[in-house]
Amino acid sequence: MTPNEALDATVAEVAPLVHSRKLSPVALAEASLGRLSTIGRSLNAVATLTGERALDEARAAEREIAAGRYRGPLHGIPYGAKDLLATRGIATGWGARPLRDQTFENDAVVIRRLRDAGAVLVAKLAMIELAGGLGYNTTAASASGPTSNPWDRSRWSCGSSSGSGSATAAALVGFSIGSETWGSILCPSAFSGVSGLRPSYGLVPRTGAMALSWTMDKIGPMARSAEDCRLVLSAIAGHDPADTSSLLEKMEGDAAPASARGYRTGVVRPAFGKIYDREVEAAFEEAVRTLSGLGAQVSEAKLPDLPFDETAILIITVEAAAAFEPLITSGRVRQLVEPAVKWAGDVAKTVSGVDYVRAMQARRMIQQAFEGIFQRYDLLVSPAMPIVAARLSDKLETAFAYSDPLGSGGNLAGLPALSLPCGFSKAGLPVGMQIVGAPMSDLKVLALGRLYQENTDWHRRRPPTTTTAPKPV
Amino acid sequence: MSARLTRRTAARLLLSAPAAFALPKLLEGAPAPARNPATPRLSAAERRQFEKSVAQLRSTAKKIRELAIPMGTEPAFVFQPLLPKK
Repeated sequence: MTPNEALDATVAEVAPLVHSRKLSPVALAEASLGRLSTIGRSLNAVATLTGERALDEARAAEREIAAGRYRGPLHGIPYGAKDLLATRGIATGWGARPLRDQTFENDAVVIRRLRDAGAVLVAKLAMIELAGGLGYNTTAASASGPTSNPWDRSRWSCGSSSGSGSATAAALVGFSIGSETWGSILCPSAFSGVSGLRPSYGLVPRTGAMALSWTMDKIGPMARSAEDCRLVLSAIAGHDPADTSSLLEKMEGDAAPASARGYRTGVVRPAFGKIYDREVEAAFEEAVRTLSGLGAQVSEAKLPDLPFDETAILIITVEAAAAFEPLITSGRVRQLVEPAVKWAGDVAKTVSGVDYVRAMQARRMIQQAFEGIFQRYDLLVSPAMPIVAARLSDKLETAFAYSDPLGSGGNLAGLPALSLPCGFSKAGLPVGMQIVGAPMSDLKVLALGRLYQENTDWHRRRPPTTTTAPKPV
Repeated sequence: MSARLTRRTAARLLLSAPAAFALPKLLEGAPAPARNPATPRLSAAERRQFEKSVAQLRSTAKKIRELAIPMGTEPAFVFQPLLPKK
């Protein structure tokens, strides 16, 4: 396997070759950097290449492995991190033009843990400015410009972890790290055809990550299989005393069950209305039949009538305005791409304290509702998105005009969710299915994903990657 | 799901701050919010967009106010006192 072929493979497949010294971490890093600097740039997937650090880390990995000190499956694997994770001495611009040169003195805890696992940081990846924290309505709302989808460069890779989705799908990196407040891992994973895990709230520490919404932000892996997500999650999960939301509890569940037999699986079919793409629906329903064939006990699950979306909107809007207050009051917010952010702070300030607390009470009710649901089901499945990748030219308020109760509710309740490819449209665009579990059931979620992928090959398909520039749109 | 808001909220997905882009009618009698001194003067079109955004957020808050929340429901915050370091 050549280094370029290795970038197309999964971490689980490449790791034994690195361990046995059939693949050189330095050659892998060089191949990754080469693809990032050509394909990655043309996709607008890259914020900053970290070439010097990458080669230092890769050489160190090579020396250690040669000396018999193999650290595990991420050792020597190149990866990219969403540009909201602090990296010592390397710009961390949060996708925002006014912060383009921002640097930090320490690595984020997730970056440190990946370094300790021997992974090689090759790039900071493009993202929507401030992870969309002050709102956005165009795909271009990023210091990097609109990030193209490798499956069709006139389409978007989604946000806010845009570069993570695009770079992982195009095999520019072995895996990547994204973050989600509401949809920012699942949507890019679905649109880009990769496997992405939004972990349980509190499972992965956020120390050193940009805060958008303290009560809802999560950091998670985006990779080319559910098993790769598990490998990365194992390296980055675990308590960190510096993050007051970080949980002491450990994940529960069997990472590799032999079958889905006994998994009570609820199928959630939200009322997406006219926007629900029939090709997405067909692919999802076929995936449900596959799960059933694997032994899962599949039945229809209904969500209660609660204001899921409204509660998430209100909480995130208020917390984001507080998080970015210095940018707002200094006026630097006006340097952002999205015009509406100019007044986002003023809009947020119209929410009363009582309304915010009421939203947090509603959130408690939502949390309790999911607690009841997970007494009846082990896992829920649903389309990750009701549509395939939007066009770069789309107005997002139109393209995403539907309610998303499992997305908003799942984020409000801190539930883990995995998006994984479950088909393609006739035009060759990926379709994603999400598997959602109770808090801290991340391993169970990943296990069902792994079983599904052992019996399907959607995750093995790769987009046509070339070095040509994106088509004008 | 019943009476869910049907306004277009691109933002609300991924997007985290959807309120900035939405569209119902401005609630009648609602006072205009105070302007942040750092906010530049807005054009007429921007002002309309701003007002729509405010109306959207108020509509969102109204939906939550209409929810029958049992008294005593603890908000989903947790405060943990910092114990003295040993």
